[in-house]
Amino acid sequence: MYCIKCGVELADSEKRCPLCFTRVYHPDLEMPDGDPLFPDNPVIKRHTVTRAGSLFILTSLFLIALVMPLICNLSITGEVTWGGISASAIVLAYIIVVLPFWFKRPNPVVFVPVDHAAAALFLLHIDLFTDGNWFLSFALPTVGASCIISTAVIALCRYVRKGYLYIFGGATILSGMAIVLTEFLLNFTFDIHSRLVWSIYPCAAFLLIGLMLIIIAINPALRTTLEKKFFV
Amino acid sequence: MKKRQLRWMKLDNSAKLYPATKRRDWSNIFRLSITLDGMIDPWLLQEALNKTVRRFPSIAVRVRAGVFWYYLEEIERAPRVKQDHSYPLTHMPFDDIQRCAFRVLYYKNRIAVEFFHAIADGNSGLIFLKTLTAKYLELSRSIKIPCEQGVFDVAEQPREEELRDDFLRYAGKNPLKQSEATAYQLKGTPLPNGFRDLIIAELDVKEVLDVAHEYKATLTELLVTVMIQSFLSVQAERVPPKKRRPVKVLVPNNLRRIFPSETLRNFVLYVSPGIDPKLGDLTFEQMLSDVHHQMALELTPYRIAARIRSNVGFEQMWVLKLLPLFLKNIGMKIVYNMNGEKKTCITMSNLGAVKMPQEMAAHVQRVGFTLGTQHTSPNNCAILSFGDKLYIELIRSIQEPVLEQRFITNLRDMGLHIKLSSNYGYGGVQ
Repeated sequence: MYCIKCGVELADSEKRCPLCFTRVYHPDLEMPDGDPLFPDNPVIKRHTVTRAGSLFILTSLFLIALVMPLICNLSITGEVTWGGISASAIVLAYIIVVLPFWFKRPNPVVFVPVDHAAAALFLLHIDLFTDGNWFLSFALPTVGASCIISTAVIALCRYVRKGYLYIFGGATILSGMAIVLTEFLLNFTFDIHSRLVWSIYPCAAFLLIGLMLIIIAINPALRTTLEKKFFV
Repeated sequence: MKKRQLRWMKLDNSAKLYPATKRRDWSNIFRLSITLDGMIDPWLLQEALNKTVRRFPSIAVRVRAGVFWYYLEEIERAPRVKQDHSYPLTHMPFDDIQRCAFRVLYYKNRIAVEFFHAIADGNSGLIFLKTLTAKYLELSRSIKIPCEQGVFDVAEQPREEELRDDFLRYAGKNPLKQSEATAYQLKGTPLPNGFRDLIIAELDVKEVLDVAHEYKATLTELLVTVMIQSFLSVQAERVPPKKRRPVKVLVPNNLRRIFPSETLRNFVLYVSPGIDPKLGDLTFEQMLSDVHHQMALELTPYRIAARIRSNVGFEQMWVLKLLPLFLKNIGMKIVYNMNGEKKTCITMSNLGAVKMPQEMAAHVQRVGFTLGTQHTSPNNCAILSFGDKLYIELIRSIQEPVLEQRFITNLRDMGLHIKLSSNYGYGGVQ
């Protein structure tokens, strides 16, 4: 038999052309039945490391890291003191690094706020443990600002899928303002200074960079000029 | 009773790379097969194998790890012969290689041997297979086959020159450093579970030789050029002009044809002729002429000797010698990942015309040679001729036979008659 498409002769064992997969068929000719080149054994399944297996191993390692300091702490002091902070840190690392991989398609718009919430809880734990009273006046607003800015950037990039210069320009300006807020909260909570000292400098730099990105976004001619000068 | 000390030997120069570059799902293996005129009796084949392995102490080995290098250790008894798998060159895990570095398979009237490349090259593997088949024929048909044309006498003791690493013997005085550009890499949808699709093209060797001689080229040069032409046309369709890369084919050359050697270890060096698309749209004649001159230049004895010196030089550096094996493995793997498979598009290995004693050839229907695919490059091609037939075996690890289609239709367009057979494809495509 010949393949009508490729014009090559096919061995009797071939039911289709191996090049174009055209079925070998002629209504007036009886199809010969040749021996296949290889036996029809089942394909040997490869033993690969599965996602669930890897996650199981990682989770076990994290569990060991979580339990060991607690046991040491209990055996040394007879109660959970610093071991609790260490365990919280391991839980936080697990939530940030491993938890998203338990899901088939982890959505960063969900996981970034989750990570921030976990970080806030970790800070609350330290605050309570040290009796610091700085969580509500400093840690919560700082983490909240970071959460709002990063979630907004990720959500806009993921769902709008255009205007990246506007998104990153706006995020840079907001980050500059967040630095000022951080210094203000530090001063307010810990009574360090009565006025803003260092945050205005990074804030000014962030504002300039953010404004520059927005100006480039607004001005197509400037974009073309910059592209012409800096193309790779 | 005192246990006999097992014979061991160092890996030859080119073999050192193969165990170091193995992966969890890939090792460098190749396959040779002989199809006889009657069904294979596995009991007699096992008997023939038990007798044959004693004659080949450099092939009947396993790969073991030392502190500084891998080494080969004699196996105490021959491995069990097994039924063939549903596709050639199924993965040979390194655990298996550490027990025995080759396997003997049978299916209907075919005997196949799959070798880990560190223990043999195509030529020495073919000698092993021919000797095994001759012994099998002697046992099953009670015929006497003369020990000539690559059939060894299994009662004879192995000679020292068969076990020698001849790379060290023929290395030149000064090394020749060559820097090569990265070549085009074909991509496709991987076949699941490590399956390999094989297409075998059967041509009339005289017809192909006539076409090659018309162009004043050798058969290998002709086929290499057709392959380059096929790759160039695939690249032209898939890649924009500015991003096109050179198309190069890795052609292993049997150094026993250049230097007097009887070694059964690896003794092969590669040349990689190619065409850069930046040269413009060359005609087939121009490409063939270019390939012909590239190969002729690279295959001069003094150039080969200098290239062997470069390879041997690394092995003989004291700093590298003293590095523990695991560090050497990491280093070699990094170098291989960066350079190994990226410098060429495909390997085309031509074993040439297979000769055997007349008494044996009368019972042999065909001889097969299949190369395993590389870890990342999806296609490979092996060629040999037996009798008046030329066999081109094209193996791939991707679903799309795009390269095979171009290559075969290019040969067809030269007026060559081609008969195809395949291993049915994954998941019962046929």
